[in-house]
Formats: sequence, structure tokens, C-alpha cells
Amino acid sequence: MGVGFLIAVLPLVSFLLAGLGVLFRWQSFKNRSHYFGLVTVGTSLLLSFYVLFKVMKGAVLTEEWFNWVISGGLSASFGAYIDSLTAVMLVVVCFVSFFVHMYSIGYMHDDPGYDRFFAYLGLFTFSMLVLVLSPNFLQLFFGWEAVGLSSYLLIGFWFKRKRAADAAIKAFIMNRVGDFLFIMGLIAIFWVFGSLDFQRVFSQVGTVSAATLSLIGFLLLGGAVGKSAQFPLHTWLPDAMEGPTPISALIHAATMVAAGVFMVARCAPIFDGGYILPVVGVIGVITAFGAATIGLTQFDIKRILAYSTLSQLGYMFAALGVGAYVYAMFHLFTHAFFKALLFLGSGNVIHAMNGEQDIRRMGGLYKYMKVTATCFIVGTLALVGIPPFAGFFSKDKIISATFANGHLIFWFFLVVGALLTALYMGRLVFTVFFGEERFDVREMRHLHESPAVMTVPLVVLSVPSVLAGFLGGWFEEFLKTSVPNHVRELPHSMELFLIALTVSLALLGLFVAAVIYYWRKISPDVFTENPVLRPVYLLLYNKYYFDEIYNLIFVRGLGFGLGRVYAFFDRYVIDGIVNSVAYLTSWCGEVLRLTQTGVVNNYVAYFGIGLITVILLLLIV
Amino acid sequence: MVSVILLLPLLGALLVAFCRSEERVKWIALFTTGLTFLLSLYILFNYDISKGGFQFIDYGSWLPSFSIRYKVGVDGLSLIMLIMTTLISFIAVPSAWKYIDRKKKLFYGLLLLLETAMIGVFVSLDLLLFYIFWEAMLIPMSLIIGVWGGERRIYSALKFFIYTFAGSIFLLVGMIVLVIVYGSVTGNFTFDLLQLSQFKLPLELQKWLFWAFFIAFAVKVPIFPFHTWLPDAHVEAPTPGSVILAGVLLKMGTYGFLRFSLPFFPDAYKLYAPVVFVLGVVAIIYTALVALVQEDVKKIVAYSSVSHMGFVMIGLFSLNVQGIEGAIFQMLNHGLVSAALFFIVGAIYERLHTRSVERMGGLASFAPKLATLAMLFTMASVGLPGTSSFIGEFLTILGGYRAAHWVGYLMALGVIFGAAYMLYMYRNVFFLEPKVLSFKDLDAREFLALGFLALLVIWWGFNPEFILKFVHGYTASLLGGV
Repeated sequence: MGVGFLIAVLPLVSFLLAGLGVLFRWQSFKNRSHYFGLVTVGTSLLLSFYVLFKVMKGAVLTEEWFNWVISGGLSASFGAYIDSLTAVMLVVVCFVSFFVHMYSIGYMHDDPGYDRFFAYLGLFTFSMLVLVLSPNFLQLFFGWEAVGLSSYLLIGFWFKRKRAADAAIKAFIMNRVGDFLFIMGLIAIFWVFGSLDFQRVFSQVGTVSAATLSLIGFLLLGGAVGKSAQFPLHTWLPDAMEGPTPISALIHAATMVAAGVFMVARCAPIFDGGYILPVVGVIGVITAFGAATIGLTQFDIKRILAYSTLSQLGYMFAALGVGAYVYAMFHLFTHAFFKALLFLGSGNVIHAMNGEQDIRRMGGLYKYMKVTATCFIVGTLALVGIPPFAGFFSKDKIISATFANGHLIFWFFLVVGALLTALYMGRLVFTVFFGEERFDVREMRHLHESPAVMTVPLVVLSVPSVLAGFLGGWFEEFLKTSVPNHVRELPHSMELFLIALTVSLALLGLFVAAVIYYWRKISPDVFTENPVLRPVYLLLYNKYYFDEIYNLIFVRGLGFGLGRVYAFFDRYVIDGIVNSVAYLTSWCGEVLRLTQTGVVNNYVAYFGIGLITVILLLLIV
Repeated sequence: MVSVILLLPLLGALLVAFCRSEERVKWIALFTTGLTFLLSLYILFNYDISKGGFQFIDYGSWLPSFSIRYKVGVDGLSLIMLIMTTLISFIAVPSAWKYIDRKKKLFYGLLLLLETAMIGVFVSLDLLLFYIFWEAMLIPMSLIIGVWGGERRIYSALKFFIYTFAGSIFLLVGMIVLVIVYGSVTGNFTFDLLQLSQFKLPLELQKWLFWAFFIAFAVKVPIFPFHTWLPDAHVEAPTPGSVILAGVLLKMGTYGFLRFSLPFFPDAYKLYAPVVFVLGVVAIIYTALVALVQEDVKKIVAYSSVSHMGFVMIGLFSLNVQGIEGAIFQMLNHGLVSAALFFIVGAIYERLHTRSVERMGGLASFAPKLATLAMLFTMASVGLPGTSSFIGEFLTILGGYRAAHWVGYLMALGVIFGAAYMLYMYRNVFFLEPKVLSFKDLDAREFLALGFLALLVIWWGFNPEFILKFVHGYTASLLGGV
């Protein structure tokens, strides 16, 4: 027990208290459920700062809570292993979670499931904290699955809507596809190393062949791809929008999708030892670029942000893939703040628009909600990577690292991706906050700035979105104590040139977006209606048809389709054989019954035939 | 002591028979099963783990001319099965509380008889005694299905009876052959389990007898392709019948493999393990897919049982510590989880009088307690870490992986399909727009029974050693002999 234990368990207390209220319909608990969350997560946040300062002095905190013996040699201690990697994650998770809690007081105010929402939030925070604290793979997997469960519950929070319920199932099952590989990864690790403890496994990595490490790395990567919504398991994340907006902020910023990146960084020794790292990079680049192209064409404000998350996670994976683990974590760190900010900001917009999410029906909102709009723009600039906002530093480091390590193809696509990011985010901001007002006059009544409880979190999150980038040097030194970072030095002039190139592309993107969506010099129809470009547009608009293809092959084909075939087979072939045997037996009985006539003459005849047969047999033999 | 536990439900059944009031029998049954459960806990806490082996042995002469003796006792494996049986029987009573609304006397009498027979199967140390309990259990069970079941209850009861009985014939023949061979070699005719298991049969004979025992046990487990009686029986059985069927009866087959097939025919067991791996993997994946498209909630849970028993079978035949301990743990865990799921399905049926998912939906809006507990058991069925299922699944997958890598991978595929059918079922029942106007949440009786199971599922999920410490010694000696 110790500080780590408190940090993790406090949100669980919030979950249990609010959960009891839900279970037994205690009204007094219901109205106070946010206090449980605010107090517990707030305390966890303070404690995690305390832990951070302790770790900064060079300490690595370890705790043992209890021993989770599974069987014989297979055991692992639930506990905490807090090095710089974990300490940073603790702060990020608690920070974002605390402000999401605060924001939800306003956002969920009228929802009948108010207490249930806070209960789930507590569970979600607890799960993620357990995950980042884990000193071994078993606890990691526990947190990993608990995060999956919480996200399932939260995405399906409005469970009466079929879309929400389906999105929840989709998220859970796509994660399970990854988990299938992840479980096999754990089993392979136990098989090879005889332990699931991080330190013991990592210290033995040198004794294992690269091929084995590649296999383990591949299996672990499968889990990370599912959890962090990377290609080809990415399709659940945009659908996760069906959950309440504060949850999107939590999922996209700190709790769920961060887990994959964190895990790969944690397992860096395994990935460094095998050949699997380039695969991580390729997956990251495909996701970074592909998601950005989809983001260009979407109309749902949350969906655009969701694809931007996919894209940014792709950057992190690309960084992992070139061995720049620290830069991946740094981008995760800055991204957490501005992505939470953007989602909460979009929540205010949706709130003001009375539930409308289509950006085509918005416009000119800036003058109605100045605080939200300003914060949203700060978040956008951070995401696009305009200096001196946070995203500039972290993203630029990733892009430079790919170049420095000689992955020029990665570099090219990431740079173009930066341009696309600027384009779709510029499109979003100009369409929503500026230009003509395209909404119904009736909706004007709702149009207002959100209450303080929903704007203060935005303002607070804006601060690190602006300033976190300046922590880059410190962050790098700090994290290098626990995570390797293999990046070659670039000549200073080259580095400056690359920065200039990326930034000017980002500015170009914003400028083009302004030309099209602010000044309206070019109509977007030029691209969408153009006979050459239209197929491309449709391809992007339909997200490369991944959902349709997966639905056809896996859901309707291998899932329900094969299920129906098997069910038929089970009922009519297997059970048919069983029943036929029974009928055959009873038919034999029926036939033989005919011999039992009850007529003495017949029996005498049988007797005679039998006697003759026996005599004949005796004579022959 | 074991004899007391064995006979107590029988005594309760007698009491029920002489009880005048139709209402009071419920309390007699609850009290008897509760006391039996407590007594089995007494054995659990007084079993000497460091000594291991069979303890609390009672025996007496029965048919001396055939060297058939009454001999009962428990070792680690029997003990776990005993706890499971008394626990599930104790849970079955509240599940019947309202569901059984006619011929209550007969019902609770049969239930108690059934408990005695089931306990007998797990504690018998004499082959013939075992066989008698094994068959005796069929009678009350098929009556429970046949009298209080649904529309096609007679068909299902007959199918259940004949199918399992037909399988058991092979067991009887196999046993007699075994005893005669043993007797003719050693000059000592005995049905004593311990003596017989010391004997090494020639491989040729092992092969034949292995299959004879296999058929009997495989039907009971049930293992693909002998499973089709199970969905029929479950669908028609009343809630307490399903609870016991899934909770206890299915484990008799797997118990048989451990208690008889492995010690008696170790070489054949090893030889045919790949066959079981294939059947087990097919069971896991094939039945999961069949479960996915069912519309009857009971069928979904029934097929899920077949799928989960696939994990147990592979664990049993993996012949390594993790596989076998995982299989034993999974037997217990499946007992809890499937009993709870059938309990929940029964509670819904009592309120809506339907089992079709098409006519449910949105129940979470009305019943937070039911929805929460159902979610917990759904997640337990899916094998989420923190629930006892995770331990069982993880260990059996590890065992399968150690036996052959491909087996491990294919078993792990089951985690995807398992999630799919359970989550779709949960969605169709508890999520979406409500299709009913009102729905009463769990009452105190139901909440306590399910809550108790839920606590066990979580407790054993975090502290599986509480159970597994009883079987470490057993597994070690078992594997030492192979």
C-alpha cells in the first residue's frame, strides 16, 4: 500500500458510492454523485503531482498491494511501479479526468442517468490508473480489460439508442480482437520468460532470440492496435462518438486510446529486440495519413475530431515505429490536453446548438460563445502545430525523428498529414465559428455561452495547450530515465529547415481552409462535384468503406452468416442423426413387435423353425 | 462426515414427503440445502492440505460377495466439486421459489434427492457406488424437466434421459471389464477406486476402455458432437432445473475424465488427447457461433455452456499443471456463472413470460439491480480479468498452448466470439428501446442469491488460490503418475 494505491483506488471509491446510489435509487446520492468524483479524483490529482515531484528527484516508487496468485508459478503482485513514464501518465490521467468530471456536472445536468454517469467515470479513471501503475503484464491486462469495459459502458451510456448500443458492442469486440493477440502475447511471454513481471522480463530480453521477440512484439502490438484504434482495427473509435461528449474527451485524450501507446513504450525492450518496430511505424503512418484524409470530408463535428485523434495516434505510433519512444509519449502528453479541450469545446457547441452536430447547420458561433470559441481555436492551433502552441513542439519532434532516422517515406506522409490536419481543422473552425449563421432561427433561443462549470475546464486546459510544448526539453530528459529514445542527431540547419517546412505547410493548410471556408473564394463543390475528384471524395466520405467491408465479411459473413449455417447444421444434421438413431431403434421395436402376435400357432411355428435351424447348424459343423 | 452430507438432503426429502403444508416445504428445502452447504464448508476448512489424498473416508460392507463396498471420501478435486454442488443446490432453491407454483412437495423432494445423488457421484470411492449415483441422478432430473418444463418438456426429458443413459451403458460395460481384468490378473475382485487406479492395463485394452468411458462422459459434458440434448433440455427445464443442469451436472462428465479415464488409462488418454483438442476447439468456436444467432435466451446460455466446457476439456487433456488446474477451476467457475445466468433468465421469464430476445429490450431502464448483476455475470462469462472466469480461461489457454501452440491460439479466438454472443444478448435484453411497459426489479430473495454468487465470482477472481490450493497436491500426484 502507499500513495500509488490511494491514487488508483480513490476513483474506485467514487464508482462504488455512486454505483450504490444507482443500484438502490438513493436520491440523496444521486444529487451528490459528482462530489464523490470531484473529491476522489481531485485528491488523486494532488497525490499524483506529489508522486511526480518525488520521481523527479530520481526515485522509482514501487509498491506491493497484494499477490495475485493464479496458479503455481504463475503469479504477479498487484502493485505500483512508478517511474517517470508512469508518473507523467498519472498526472495526465488525473488532470484530464478531473476536468471532465467538473465539465460533466454541467453537461449531464438534466440527464436521468446523472449518477450512473459519474459512477462509470470513476470506474474508467480507476481502470486507467491501475493500467499505468502496473508493475507486470497481468495487472496491465487487468487494467486493459477494465478500460475496455468502462468504455463499453460509457459509449453505450444512452443505451436506448440502437446506435449507441451497437457502437458500444463494436468498440468492445474490436478491442477483443486485439486482446485475443494480447492474451497470446502474455502467454508467450510467460512461456518464454517464466514470469510476467516487467523488470524480470525486460532484464532477460537479451537471452531470447530476435525471432521470438518479434512474435511477442507482434502479439502485443495486436493489443495496442485494438486499444489505440490503429489501422486496421480503427473503426470503433469514430463510432464511439455515440457516447456523451465528456466521455469522448476522456477516451480520446487520456484514458483509453493512450493505453496502446503507453504499453508499447513500456515494452520498448521487447520491441527494440525484435524486428517488429517497422510494422508499428507503417501502421502508424497509414493511420495518420488515412484518418486525416477522411477528416477532410466529414460533417459531424465530433467525427472530425475523432478522425483527428486517429491521425494523431498514428503520429505517435509512427514515432514508436522509428524508435522515438519519448517523442511518442511527449505527443501523447500534449495531445491529451488539447484534444480534451477540443472535445469539451465541441460539447459546448453541441450543447448550445441543442444537440445538433452537423457543422453545415452551424456558423458564426464566435459571437455567441466567445470563451468556448477562443479556447477551441487555441486547441486547434495546438493540434495543427503552429508555434508556440504545444502540438507544434511534439509533432515536429516526431516528424524530424522520422527524417533523422532515415524513414523518408514515413516522413513524407507525416508532413503531408500535417498539411491535411491544418486543412480539416481550419475547415472545422471556419465553418462552425465564423461565416454566415446557417442554423434555424428557432435554435437561436438556446444559443448561449455555457455555464462556468463548463467553460472553466476549457480555460484551464488551454493553459497546457499553449505552454506544455516548452516543457519539451525537461520532458525528454525526465522520460529518458525510463524509456529509450533512439533518434539520430540532425544538423541544426537541417532541423530548422524541416521545422520551417512543416510549419509553412500547416499555415498553408489553414490559409487554403480560410480561402474556401472563410472568404469563400472557392466553393468546396469544386472538389466534391468534379467528375475526376468525386470518386475520391466519395471514397473518403465513406471512410474507405471499411465499415461496409468489415460488416460484410465479419459481422454478416463469419459471424451471423456462419452462425446461421452452423445453427442449421446443429439442428438438422447433428441432432437429426441423434433423433434418427432413436427413431431407427423404435422402428426396429415396432417391426419386431409384429412377431409378438399372441397366437400360439405362430409361436409353435417359430419354435419349429428355430429347432430346424439349430439341427442344421449342428449337422453342418 | 461425508456420509452425513450425503444423506442430509435425503433426510430433507423424507421430511418434505411427510410435510403437510405446500408452503413449508420451501423452507425445509432451503434449510436442508443451506445446512448441507455449511457442512461442506466445514469439510473444506478441515481438510488437511499438507497431507493431501483422500480424507474423511467412511466405509462399510455392502455386498461382500462381490467385494462391493460403501466407501466415500474426498480429495482436493472431490472437495471442490462437493462445495460447488452444495452451493448450487442452495442457490437452486431461491431460483425455484416463485417459478415452481404447483406440486411443490414433489418438486422440492426431487430436488433434495437430486442433491444426494449428485454429491454421491463426487464422493464415491467405489466404482459401483459411483455408477449407481451417476444413474440415480437421471431420474429426479428428468422428472423435474418432464413435470415442470415448458411445452416440449416430455420430448426433452426423454431425450435427456435416453441420451445420457445410452452413453452410460458403455460406462457400465467398461467398468465390469476393468474389474474382471483386474481380478483375473491380481486375483482380487474389487470395485475400489483407489486399488483399481494403481493398476496398469495393457495399451490395447486401455484404448477400448478409454472410448467406452469416453462416450459416457462426453455425452454428459457435453462435448461436440454429443451436445444436442443440452439446448433442448435447458430450454424446457424450469429455472432451478437449468441452474443445476448447467451448474453441476455438466461437471460430472469432466469429473469422470479426471477421476477415471486419466488414472485408469493414462496411455490411451495421452494418445487420444489430440482428438479431444480438435473436438474442444470445434466446441469453443462452433457453438459460440451457433449461440450468436439464437433468439431464445436460454439457448444462448446453453450453447455458451458447451463452448465453455470446451475450454475445460482441452485443459483436462493438456496434461500439464496449468491446464488441469485451470480446467478444475473453470468447472467451478462455470458452475457459478452459468447458474447465475440461468437464474437471471428465469427471473426475466417469471416477469415477462417469454424467452425470446425479440420481445425483450430496454430492461435496464426499469431494473438497475438486475441489469447490473446481469452485466457482471455477462462480463464474467466473457472472461474479464477480475472475475473467476478469467482465471479458468487463462489457465486452460496456457495449458492448451503448452500442449500445442495451435490449440492455444484457437482457444483464445473464443474470447472474441464469447464476447460477441454475450454482448448481443445483453443488448437485446437490457439495452434498446423498452418493448415492455413495466418491469419489476429483483426482490430481496433474488438479489441476495445473485449477489452472493457475484461476490464469489469476484472473490475467486482475485484469490483463485483459495480454491486452487486444494488441488495443487492432487494435480501434482496425478501428473506424477502419467
